Amino acid sequence: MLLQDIQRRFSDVLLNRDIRLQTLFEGELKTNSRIPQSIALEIYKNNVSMACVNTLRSILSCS
Amino acid sequence: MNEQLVNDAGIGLRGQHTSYVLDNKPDIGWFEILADNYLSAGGLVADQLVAVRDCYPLTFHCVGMSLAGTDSLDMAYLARVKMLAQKIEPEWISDHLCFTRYGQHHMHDLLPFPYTAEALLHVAERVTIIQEYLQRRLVIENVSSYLQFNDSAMTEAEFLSELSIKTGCDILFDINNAYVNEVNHGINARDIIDKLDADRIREIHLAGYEDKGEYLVDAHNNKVADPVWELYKYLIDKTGAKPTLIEWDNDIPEFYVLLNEASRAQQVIESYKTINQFEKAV
Repeated sequence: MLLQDIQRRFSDVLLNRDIRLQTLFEGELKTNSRIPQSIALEIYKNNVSMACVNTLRSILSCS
Repeated sequence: MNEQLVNDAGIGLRGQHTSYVLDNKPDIGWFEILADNYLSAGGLVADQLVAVRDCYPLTFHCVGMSLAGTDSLDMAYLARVKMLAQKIEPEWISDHLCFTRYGQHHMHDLLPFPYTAEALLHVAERVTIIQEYLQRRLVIENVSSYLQFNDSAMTEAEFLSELSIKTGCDILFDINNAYVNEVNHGINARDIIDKLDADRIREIHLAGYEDKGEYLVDAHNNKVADPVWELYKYLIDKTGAKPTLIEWDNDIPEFYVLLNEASRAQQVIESYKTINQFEKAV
């Protein structure tokens, strides 16, 4: 299933499970963005785009 | 639905403002809470939420349903949302078009996925299950994203529209997200507004972004930017007045700053109403 495979590899990249995977994964991304793909992945890795992160942390703390 | 809520601007209520709101009862149409923050709340926090609900219309915004996730649905999480909804009776419940978990690991973010026919069927099935479980229509929000997939066969707007048709869900249109995506990916926000079914837009979000120079980040840490206000006016002209929420989640200012932002949104709504009434009278 494409969706599951994408999510598995995306999460592996974000969790730094396999650094080599990042290069492979970038091949699946569109290249017309103003954001370099490596920076985009870093944004997600570092939860920079995390308007909801405090909320998610609260989920983790109570689950 | 509460008629006042239909026509007014509201504010995303954050914990540090709750006591101020209860003590001062500011003139604001409604509040939205991040429901996830209240799922385990008891004591004073729970009592305060009930007190707010007694004074204002309230909506729930969630971040944990993982609507596009391929993990099984987290029914324990949904049970807590349902229990809170039964207690507070929100006007509606919303979440995002994204996935937030994989392999039972919370990813701490609203993560994008390829907009494919396969994904549409998958998300529609999950939304249908959730709506039946919660016994209410979900309201689903477009997200800001920082990458796009080659495999996407449709735009996010097309995906959201199809999802709405398939499941009956409504749409929460976040204008700041659309503008962030316009700058970052070149996706024209006005085109999105033109393509969405106005009748399915149940709520609008406005927030501030962080300008990183080459790109924007949807940081919810600033006032709403001028281009986003322009898009908001464009949207209201197209759709008519809609419940409009000011969101601010990082570097949260004093409440009056949020109130000023909400007042500005209310002015746009009032301008639309005035023009609309005049045109009807002519």
